[in-house]
Amino acid sequence: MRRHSRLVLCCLGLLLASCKPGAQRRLAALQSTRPSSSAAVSSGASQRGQALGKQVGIGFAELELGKVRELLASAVEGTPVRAARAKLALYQGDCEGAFLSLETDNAVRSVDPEVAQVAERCAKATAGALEVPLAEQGLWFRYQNPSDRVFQPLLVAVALRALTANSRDLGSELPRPLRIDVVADLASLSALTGLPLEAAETTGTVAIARWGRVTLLSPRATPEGYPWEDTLAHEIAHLVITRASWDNAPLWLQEGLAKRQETRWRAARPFDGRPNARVVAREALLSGHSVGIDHLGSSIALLPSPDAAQIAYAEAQSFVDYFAQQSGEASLRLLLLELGRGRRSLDQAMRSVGGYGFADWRRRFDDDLRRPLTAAESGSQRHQAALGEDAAPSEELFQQARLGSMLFERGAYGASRLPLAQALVGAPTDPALRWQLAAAELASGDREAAKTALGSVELLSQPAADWFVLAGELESIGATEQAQAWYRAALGVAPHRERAACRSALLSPLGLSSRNPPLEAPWDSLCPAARQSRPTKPQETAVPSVGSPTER
Amino acid sequence: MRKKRYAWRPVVDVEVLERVRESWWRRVGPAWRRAWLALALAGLTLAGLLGRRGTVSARFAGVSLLLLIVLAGLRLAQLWARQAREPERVVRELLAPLDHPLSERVLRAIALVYACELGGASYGNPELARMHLRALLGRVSFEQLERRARRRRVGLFTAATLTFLTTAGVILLEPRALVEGLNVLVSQRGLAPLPMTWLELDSVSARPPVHIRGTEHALAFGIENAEPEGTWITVRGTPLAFGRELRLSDGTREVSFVSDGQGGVAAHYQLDRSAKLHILARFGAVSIQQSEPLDVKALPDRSPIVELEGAPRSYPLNDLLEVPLKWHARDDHGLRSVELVLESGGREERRSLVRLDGQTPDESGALALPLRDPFLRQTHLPVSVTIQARDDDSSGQKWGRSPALVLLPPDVGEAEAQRYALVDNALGKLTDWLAQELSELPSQEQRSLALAQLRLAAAASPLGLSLPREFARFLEAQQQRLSRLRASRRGLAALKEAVLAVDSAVALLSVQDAQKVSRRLAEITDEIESAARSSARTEQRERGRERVVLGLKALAAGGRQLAQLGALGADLGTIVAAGVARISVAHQSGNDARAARAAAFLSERLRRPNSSFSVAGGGGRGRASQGTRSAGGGSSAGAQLQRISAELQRIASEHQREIESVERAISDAEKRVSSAAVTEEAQQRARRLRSLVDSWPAAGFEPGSIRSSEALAREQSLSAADAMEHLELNRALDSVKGALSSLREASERGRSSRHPDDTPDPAIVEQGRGVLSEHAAWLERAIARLSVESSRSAARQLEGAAARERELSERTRLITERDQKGAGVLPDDLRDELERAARWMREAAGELGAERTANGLELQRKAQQLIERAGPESKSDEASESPDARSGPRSSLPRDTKGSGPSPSTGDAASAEAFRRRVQRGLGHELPGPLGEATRRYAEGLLR
Repeated sequence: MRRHSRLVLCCLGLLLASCKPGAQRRLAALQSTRPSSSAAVSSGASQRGQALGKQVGIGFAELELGKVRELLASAVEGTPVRAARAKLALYQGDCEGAFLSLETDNAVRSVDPEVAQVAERCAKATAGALEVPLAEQGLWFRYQNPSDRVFQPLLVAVALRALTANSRDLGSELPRPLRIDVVADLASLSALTGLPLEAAETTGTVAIARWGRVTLLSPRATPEGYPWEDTLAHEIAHLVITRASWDNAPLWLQEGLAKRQETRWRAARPFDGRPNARVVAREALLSGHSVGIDHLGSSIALLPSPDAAQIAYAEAQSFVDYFAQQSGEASLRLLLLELGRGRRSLDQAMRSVGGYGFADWRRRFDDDLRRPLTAAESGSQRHQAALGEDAAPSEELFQQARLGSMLFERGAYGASRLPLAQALVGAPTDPALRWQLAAAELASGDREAAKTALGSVELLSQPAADWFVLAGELESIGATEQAQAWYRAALGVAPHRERAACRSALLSPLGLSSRNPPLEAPWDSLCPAARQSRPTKPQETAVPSVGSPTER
Repeated sequence: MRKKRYAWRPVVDVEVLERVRESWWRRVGPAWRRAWLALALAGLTLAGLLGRRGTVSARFAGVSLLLLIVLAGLRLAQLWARQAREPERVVRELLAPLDHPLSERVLRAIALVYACELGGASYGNPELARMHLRALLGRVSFEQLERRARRRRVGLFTAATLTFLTTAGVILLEPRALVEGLNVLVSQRGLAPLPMTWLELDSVSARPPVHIRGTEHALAFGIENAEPEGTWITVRGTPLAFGRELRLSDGTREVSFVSDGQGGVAAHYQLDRSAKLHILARFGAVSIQQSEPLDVKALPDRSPIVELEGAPRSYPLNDLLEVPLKWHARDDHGLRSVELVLESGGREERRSLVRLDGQTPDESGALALPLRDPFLRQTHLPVSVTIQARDDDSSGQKWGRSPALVLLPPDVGEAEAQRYALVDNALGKLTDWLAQELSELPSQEQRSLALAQLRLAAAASPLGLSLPREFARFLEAQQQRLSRLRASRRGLAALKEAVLAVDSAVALLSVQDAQKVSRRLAEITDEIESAARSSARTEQRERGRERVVLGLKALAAGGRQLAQLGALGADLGTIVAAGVARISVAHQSGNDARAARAAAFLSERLRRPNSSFSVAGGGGRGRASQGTRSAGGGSSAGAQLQRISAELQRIASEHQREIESVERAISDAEKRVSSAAVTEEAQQRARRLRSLVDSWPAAGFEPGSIRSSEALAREQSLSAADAMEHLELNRALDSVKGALSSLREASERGRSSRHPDDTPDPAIVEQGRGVLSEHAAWLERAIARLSVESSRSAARQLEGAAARERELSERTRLITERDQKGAGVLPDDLRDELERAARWMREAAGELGAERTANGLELQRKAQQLIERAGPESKSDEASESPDARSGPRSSLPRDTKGSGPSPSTGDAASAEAFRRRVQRGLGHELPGPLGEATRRYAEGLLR
């Protein structure tokens, strides 16, 4: 009996050791409470248990869920094994299975309360959700909102390309299937991942790679969309890094690499490298607002503000870029290998790959940040500064913008031009003002004025689907490929918006028609879906004065 | 012939032997027969007595005994026959007792004859052997044989006689017992074949159940009787034989006859179904019935039949202001109560409509279920309305249920969505007007349209949901402001400001409405979760699944309405649609627990009605275009409206506290300044007043009579005395004045009375008026004196109150002043009222400062009324602002005893019930004439 319990305890220890430092502490405390007589128990069983636990931990880190399943199948039944099974169920996306196995198992719940909590909330959030396994592509999707399935062709394309790019750049391939949860809101994102909702709201987190899965906020959740493609690629990179490093990569390396990888799956796009990470990191360092790559805490999502998160990302990315620049592109793959299979510490691994320890690299990086900016970086800094000029619009500016927008939405394009133009003077980087004014000019037949109002993408503070669509239309004459690129960029931000998904949605109210062909399969379903999800205005009804029963 | 009998054997000379046998049996045979008969009779009797016990073992023993007797007779006959066949038996049984050596020799001689005959010559000569046998038989003594036969005959005869006599004695002692026993012995399936009479019937009566209130009456055997279920049937009679276990049986249920104390027996049987009742005697497991049964057909007490006009039918509540319910209930015996039953989802509410005495077989009534009924207001699921009636059957409640009227409430959020459409449309029209102005095009038409739409939006209440008071006033103010605009540069700026103001207010409204609707949908989701959990239990599965389906329908419809409420509504509407899809999938797969989990998650989400994606703190830099449709984003008017509302609410609440503090200060001061002399005087006056009215008539006279007025005066005087004892002089004065008024009324009635006897008692009226007037005068003086003294005593507090009142007045004035200079969110009339309130508050401050507390308080109260009317709706107002709330008092439909609310005294309740029944009965009939409908509405109003 003692022998058995000892084995179970060791198994538990190693399992938890692979999860969290807090769990390690709990394990140590638990072991310290064992009676001293247990020291006399056979060490053979203990070693077997430790070995098993270690293997299970590595299996989870490598995301080799099949291997973990086999190990657990042959393990001696006990609380740690049951806890590991529940965790495995979470990794496999079976939140309900994890929840049901833990519902009445107080022993396991007390051993790993986080798994229990996530399993319960995830089981609620995903109950009845639409699961779509794609065996051929090695992907598995779960849509909390079944309407989001319409995005699947886009998601599949991005996921496959991101997997290829990450495999190429980081030297590791993810076991399949890759599981992607598309959730409807931040509350669900929090439920599926365990990230506190307040933290998600504080930093504006839109996706998390945890429990061996990617949990992505549906573009539908944000009114104007967000760059969901790069976000998905970013999270896939996290999983690849976790696997390559056996989950030993520090957070700065995780985030820096993921940021670096999030755009490498595709051709360059207008907003790439904006803002310049090195410029942001340099400004933060010089202004004393630096977060510090070794002070990121347990997650960037848990930082106190979106600005802090932006600085943290910039610092991590620029440090990784600097390391790759100094040590060569292959150094990143080697670094992950050293951390994972090499089982080196970070310092050892960096010394092995780059010749210096972490502290030295950090010092070198800070020195590098302090050196003067290059011409390109200076340009980027100036551009960023220019974009920031309209950072705090006045009340009058708001009012003009709102009036212009209201007039535009009512179809009073001529009347809307003046307030929109007045607002644009104060906020020249606002994409909404630009495309509305351009559309109003286009409605009046002045194509040149429309192009002028629309401006170039460099003038914009952030990507906007409507702006991209109008740019595609204005550039469509003789430049169909470029127009298609604009349309794709629009879908990369807000595929749920009618103006992005349907070619005629933006131009029809202006009395114009699109010169570009409609979207082809498999994206042709986006337009009807966008139209269907558009809220209908309630009919104005006469107020009944006297009621009389009518049969329904 | 005899030779033939021995034909199979060698021929022996049997003549002698035959003679021996015949001689014996001639003498003994009859004796044997008698003996056997006696024995058989005795055996039969014994078997009967054994069988009468009725048990299986006893019956087995009886039958065995009978069989034994038969076997004995057979054995005797067999003996006789064998003696005839076998000569050796005659020798052994008849000769041997007489002469044993001779019988031995005869037997050997017979054997020798056989041997010679069958063995041939080697054994000897058969003739010689036969001769030897004959020689031996010739020695037989017939005398001895006859002597012995005589002795045997005598013995047998004696035994038979004794047996017979004993048996006869037993039989004579209890002759029925033998019949009963034999009857029981031959019974089949517990029932003896031969009916017997057990009772000489005295009477057979039937007493119907109490709730039927029938009288006891006689029943008769031999015919079919029909009685209501639950009737007690009593059979009385005199038993024909004692010691029998007599019972009354319907074949399955038996009741025993018990002594009626008068030498007879009686059995009481309650009829629960049609039966043939037999009187029977029970012997163990066997019964013997009396020949004729009592045939009674049971008339079942049927459940009441309830009809509800128009049911079954579904009504969308959108089209109704109230639901007319006209019902008719009938029962075969009598109704006890009629209830209105409302069911929705898992909720049920029963309300008593009529309580009856159980004798009314037929009742009808009508009522109107108003749309503002709390049950209807609190549910978002279809409501099943039935009328259920209960009869008076004490054995078990029998409910009759009418077909259901199903009320389909409006979709959750439908009213809000329509309201939002109205204000959004007004905003659109305003924008159109602005567009015309900006384009310098003729705008008169757009202007008229916009102003009309603003008016309509401010006043409309789609599905009974009006705008929040402050919002409606805001729109009204904008409309008034815009209607005064002239075409000018300033006019255009004002129009822009108005457009932005309305825009921000509309955005604010949409957010508030979306959040409210979201929370209401969360309640439906809770119901779905509860239903899904209950359907996981087998016994409630079907009902639970039905509830889930209903809930999902309501939720989906509400989600569609929610999606129309601006940006937040659209966002939350998407969440609802996704949630409905997930719950439906889980439900359709039969996994109720999963459906419950999905519902729980959705409910949690809807109770937190925020955007799906939000960044705390704005997420960095703002954008000019982000002012789009945000509450207060484009104009200061929204913020100003909120500020004014909040300030008015604060002023109203502070001012109310101020009034209360002044009242308290005055009250405390009055207690302080009340001198011992006043207290003593008040006590004395109270005693005098009590003794004065002691002889006046007490309550109980016909209302409107002189005596009733005098009685009222007495009650009011006693109340005044009580108030004086407690030094509540104001209340005492009111009561005294009331008593004087009652006496005046009595006096006037006396004058107009035509009957000389019907006159007021002058001792009461004249004397009473004098005394009461004197008391009133003293009370007025005392109150005035106390008021002055208490005001002086509370001077310091009043001074402080006056200062605070001035401050509140100034704050109120500033609101109107700032609004006039600012965006003008208050309509003109409201601004006037606030100015008036500020003026009254100033005057109140002056009065309080001058220690004229009564005037000051009066002014304070008037000002408070105006401020409260101008301020935002209170919580209770908000509750009534919900879509289903309607103006007017809440439903006061009679509730079950569990319901809250004041309960009148027993007498009042009885009369109220009688009144209600009369009205309801009247409403149940057609009301002819042009005023019929109006009369019905009036009567329904009375019921409410």
